[in-house]
Amino acid sequence: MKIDINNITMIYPSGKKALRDITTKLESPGFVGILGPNGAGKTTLMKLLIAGLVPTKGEIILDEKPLLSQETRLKSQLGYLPQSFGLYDELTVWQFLDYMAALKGVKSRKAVDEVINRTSLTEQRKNRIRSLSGGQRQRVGIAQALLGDPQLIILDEPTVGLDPEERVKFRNIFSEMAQNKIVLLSTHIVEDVQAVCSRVLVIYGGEILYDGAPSALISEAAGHVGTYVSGADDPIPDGCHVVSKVNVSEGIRCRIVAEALPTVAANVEPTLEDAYLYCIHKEGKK
Amino acid sequence: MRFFSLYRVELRRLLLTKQIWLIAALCLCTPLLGYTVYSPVVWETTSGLYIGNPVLAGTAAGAILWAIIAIVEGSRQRRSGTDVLAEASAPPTAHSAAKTTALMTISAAVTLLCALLYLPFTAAKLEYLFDAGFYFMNFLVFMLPTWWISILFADGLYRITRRAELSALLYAALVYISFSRFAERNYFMQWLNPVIGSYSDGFPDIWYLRLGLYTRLVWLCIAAGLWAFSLICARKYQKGLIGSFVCGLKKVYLPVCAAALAVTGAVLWNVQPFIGNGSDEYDLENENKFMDENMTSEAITTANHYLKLDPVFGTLSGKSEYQLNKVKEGENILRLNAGYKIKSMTYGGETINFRTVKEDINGQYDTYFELPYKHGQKLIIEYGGYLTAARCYMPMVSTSIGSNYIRMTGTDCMPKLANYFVMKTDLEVTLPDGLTPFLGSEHKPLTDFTDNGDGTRTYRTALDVDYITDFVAGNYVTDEFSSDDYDFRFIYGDIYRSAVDKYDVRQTICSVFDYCTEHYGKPLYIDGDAFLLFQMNSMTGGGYAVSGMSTWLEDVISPNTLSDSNRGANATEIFIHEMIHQWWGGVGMWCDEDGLWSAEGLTVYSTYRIVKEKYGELYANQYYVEDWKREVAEQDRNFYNRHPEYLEKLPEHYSEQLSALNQSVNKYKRMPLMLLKAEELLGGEEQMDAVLKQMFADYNESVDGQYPVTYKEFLDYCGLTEEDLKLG
Repeated sequence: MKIDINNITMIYPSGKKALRDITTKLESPGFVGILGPNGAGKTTLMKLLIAGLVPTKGEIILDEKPLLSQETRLKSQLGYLPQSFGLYDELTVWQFLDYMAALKGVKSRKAVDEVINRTSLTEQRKNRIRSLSGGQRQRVGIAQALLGDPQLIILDEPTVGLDPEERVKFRNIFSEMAQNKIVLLSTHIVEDVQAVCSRVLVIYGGEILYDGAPSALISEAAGHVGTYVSGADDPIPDGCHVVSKVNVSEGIRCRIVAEALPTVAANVEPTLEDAYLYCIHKEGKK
Repeated sequence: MRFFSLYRVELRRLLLTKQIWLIAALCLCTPLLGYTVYSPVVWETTSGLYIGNPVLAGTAAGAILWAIIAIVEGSRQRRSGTDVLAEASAPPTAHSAAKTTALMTISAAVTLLCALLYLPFTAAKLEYLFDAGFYFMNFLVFMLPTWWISILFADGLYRITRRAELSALLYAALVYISFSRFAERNYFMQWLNPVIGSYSDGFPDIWYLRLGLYTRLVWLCIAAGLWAFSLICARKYQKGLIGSFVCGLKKVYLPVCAAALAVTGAVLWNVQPFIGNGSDEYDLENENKFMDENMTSEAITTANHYLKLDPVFGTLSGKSEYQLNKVKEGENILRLNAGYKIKSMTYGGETINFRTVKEDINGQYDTYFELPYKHGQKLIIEYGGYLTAARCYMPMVSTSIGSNYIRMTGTDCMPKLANYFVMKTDLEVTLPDGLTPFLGSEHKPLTDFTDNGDGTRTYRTALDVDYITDFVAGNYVTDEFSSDDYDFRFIYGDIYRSAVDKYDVRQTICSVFDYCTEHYGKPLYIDGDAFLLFQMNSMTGGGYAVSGMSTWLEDVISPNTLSDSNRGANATEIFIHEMIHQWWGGVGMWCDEDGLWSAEGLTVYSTYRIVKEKYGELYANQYYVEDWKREVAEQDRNFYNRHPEYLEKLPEHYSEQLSALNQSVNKYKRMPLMLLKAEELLGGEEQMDAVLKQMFADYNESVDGQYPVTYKEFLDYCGLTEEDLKLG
């Protein structure tokens, strides 16, 4: 599968410009993490990719044909987990997934059992959805997205509500699936992206600030990340953005990103989170 | 295939939803409204009471419940966010179709359950009249399609508006239209509350079922059209109604389907063969004018009519041949049922041009034609079609062609020619062999027939009338018996045979005739032959008497009438009442406008007298006199009767209701009570009987009973004044 996103601009009827002239390419296999602050345009991009929206300008090409002309094909190959979704509380886990399988045109009932096992819902398969915890409901959501071995998996904040152990497990599942598919993962948990994504898109203000390997993004931030210890009331040096603050015996250890590190700060090895913030703030200044 | 897998899971999902079970349970209760608060059947026979009313109540109330669940389901999916996953996974049209079909399937199952649930009770109430096929047909024809129509409307409206309260409001407007006064006379508008004027118990006619099925089909097309239109409006790409509509138009098959369905509905509505499009009022003037032209004509002719009836489709195919001794110059007119089409017309073998003016006059169209001025030739008219009911008779339709019962009057059978007076008519009519035909208002049986060997018989008869006033065929049996003074031919529906035996109807007839003859003299309508008592289908709405014959309505002997203890009546008493009409039917035939002097009042009084003699004074007082007093007292207590100046302020509908009630009480309760007072003032029963006997004798001599006795004349016979008979 190959998706070409060509000069996409999306302006909502309210006048809000969600995406500005975005161009990129998605190809299987590929595990793409999408990073960006709230309102950056991540969800809009995903809705465009599932044909839930029509771009104001530009077009999306799926395997060399316009995406909107092959919605049925897209839906048959799509696994989608939206940020917020509802489940039928009156159904059991198995019944709900069987329901979703029918909606997706997945005929094999084995597929339902497979995703149940894969998402560790075996014990809950006969439980009504209304009796599930938040994390279990999220797992049902993930399970439905994985149904029928879709070629394009779009996951919007899939690990919200999961405990750390489950989070690790699921990101490994996603990683496995990305061996021969396109997996698009939008998340605020940069660690997840760093752990499994082969490519990262940083979106800010409706534009792609960065599109490439996470390691390259990290490299770009080298020399722009530092730490220093400050007092409680000390001001943050000009041009610096705090990544984290940790209370230590000497005061507060601040981790900062800056175009030019202040002299008080010691240069440290950047993480993806540092690189992401550096990228955002650098472009934000522009 | 995709649809079926979607349908399967949607059906299961709905069946696991609590609200569906709640609605299903409520739907099962809705027919109960038909036994209590909602009784739309106009003439309440036992079938009307225990099949018509409950089914129609369940139809209307259930339809509203299904609409509620359709809107609630749509709204719930949107509010809970389950539609997000569905929209990203399934083709929207197939998914919407699967969801709606699943809901319709459940409503079908509930219809079946409903029919089964009320079956034992209905069968017990209808006793020997119960016909399981007819019972289930009512559920299938009225309830199920109406529920489907309602679901389609509600689902479609929600998809268009995407707002529960707005779609509910629009649906309520549709309900209002169906129940509005406008729809009351435009029966096809009644999509939610189909019309049943009356149901015959013993001659189950399917006219109302046919009309119901047809109107359901019309509305199903319209509702499905709206539903298909709603698919075009289904929200896409986060666009609003108009944006989504424009996107939806790209699926060309959707607007095509929506338009095709709506157009089909409109066309079906327009070409409906059931009800004429004439006036609500019977056009007596036009009818008389037409008859006058006929009677004053000098052109005399003889006629042969060949009729073939198809009870399955309710159609007639006819050929009329007129031997014209003299041709009228210029334009000729014939009148025929509006549902029939003239296929050809020839005169002396020459094809005649004709034009039918589609202006409905009492359910008939006039056809104009000119004949070549050649006397003594044969005019042949071939015609046929579906028998249409005149709008002015609605909702009580008594004419139809069905498998169990056929009734046609006048131009339902054959053309009526203006300008030609038909001296002699030969009739040949082909019918299913289970039906016995009777002709004319005298209901003379047709006996000369040949068996065609294909399940039909062809009857032949010669008549010295210009056309047939009444043709009835049904599953009738004939009993012949005699009293001291009379021979009787008693004709009734075969289904009533056991009841006739059980309630000793023959003996009752004999005893009433003997009693009344002894007390009042011989009835006017008795001639030399056996007296014919003919059981009429209740759909005719009333009985009558002519020379040598009297009709009685079938519901006189229905289980419901026989079990109504409030009437103090059993079959015998009601029979007594109907038979007494042979004496008083004409005497007070033209009742006063307020009903204070009428044949009914005299008949009720005489019934009381016979009952008193038969069962004793205590019984007669309890079930007759006390009942009259109670009803009259209630009438007198009524606020509007005490203060008629406020009556004008009431809406016309209510004042009409009160007026009808007052007339009924005056006829059936007040007048008998006044006669009882007259009896007391005259000095007793003997004196009263003498007055009535004299009055009846004088009436009989008054040019063969042409002039009914007035109230004033009655008072003169008694030597009393109006003031004397006023009730305190």
